[in-house]
Amino acid sequence: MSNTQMLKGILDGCLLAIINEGEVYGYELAEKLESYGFQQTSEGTIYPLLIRMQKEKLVTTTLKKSTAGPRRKYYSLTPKGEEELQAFIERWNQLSHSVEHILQKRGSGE
Amino acid sequence: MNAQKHTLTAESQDFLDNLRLYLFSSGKKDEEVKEIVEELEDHLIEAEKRGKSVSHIIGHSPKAYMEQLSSEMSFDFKWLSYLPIIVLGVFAYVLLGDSIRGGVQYTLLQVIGYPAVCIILVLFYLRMFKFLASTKLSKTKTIITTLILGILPILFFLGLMFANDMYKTSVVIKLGATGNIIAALLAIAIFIGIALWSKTWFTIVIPAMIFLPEFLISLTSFDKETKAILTISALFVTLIIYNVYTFKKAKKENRI
Repeated sequence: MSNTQMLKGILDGCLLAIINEGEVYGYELAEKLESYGFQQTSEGTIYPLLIRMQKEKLVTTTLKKSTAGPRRKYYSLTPKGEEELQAFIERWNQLSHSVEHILQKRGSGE
Repeated sequence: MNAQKHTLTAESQDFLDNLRLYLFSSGKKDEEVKEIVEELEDHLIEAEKRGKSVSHIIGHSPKAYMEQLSSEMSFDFKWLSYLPIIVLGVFAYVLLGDSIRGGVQYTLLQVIGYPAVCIILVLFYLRMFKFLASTKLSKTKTIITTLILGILPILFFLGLMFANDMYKTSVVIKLGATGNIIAALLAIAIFIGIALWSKTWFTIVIPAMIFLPEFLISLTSFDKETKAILTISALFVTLIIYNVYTFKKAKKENRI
């Protein structure tokens, strides 16, 4: 499995987590994602995901004027988005726990 | 307008233009297209200020990225409502052609058949729009449905034509010289009406291109064969002129 394939499902949850920290716009979101170490994916990957999350009513958007160019779209979580984030965190904890378990066992040679 | 406004590199601007066109021709909702293009424009401006390249944003295949975006956006069924108007346009087209050739003559079957076919098609389309707007179909099914919707009028009109040849019903409308002129004017009025409604010129330009040379040639005193050759060559010439003109216009608009 390639890195990008593995990332796909996880990226959704990470976006929810970053948006949960406070209202952000697209570029800012991509930069934060990168600063956490997600450097392999191209920055634009987040937009198809954001469109879907908006359709699923996990995030809402507000348009604000920006000084530099076109209007800027800011994202924030809906209550449904917060629920989804909690569910993701649980799923992730379970998964990472299991994976870690397996890898550690292998690493110790048994 | 804005002094601080950053100008995008040609590569970024190209990508945004192509994206807009791609989403538009995929029948995506105007508002959604505008939003995502604006959002990516903002992103590209910010990224370019920091010296990042387009491929850093959209990856190495613009097409793959456009497909990704497109697959998340909703299809706009509004444009399908143009189809009934197209049916009316076809009717005007048939009428104008017949009247210029001096023979508006319809049998009972045609007089009942044409409006009946139009009404059946409009009702059918309305039902289909409702169905399509409320049901999520796969990409293949959407394409097949759209194709059927597009072919249906042709099938209906062809069917009517064959039926008219098979069952010889009596001729109920046969227009004389004045009648033909009125029919032609009515058809032209429909074309102008559609042009005004759609705010485009093509329903005036295209019939004019097709019928005007034919009409002018029919006024001349050449023999039948020469007239036919002239009509066909005139059609080709006008089509070429029109294509060159629209191509140049499109190119010029893209530059600005």
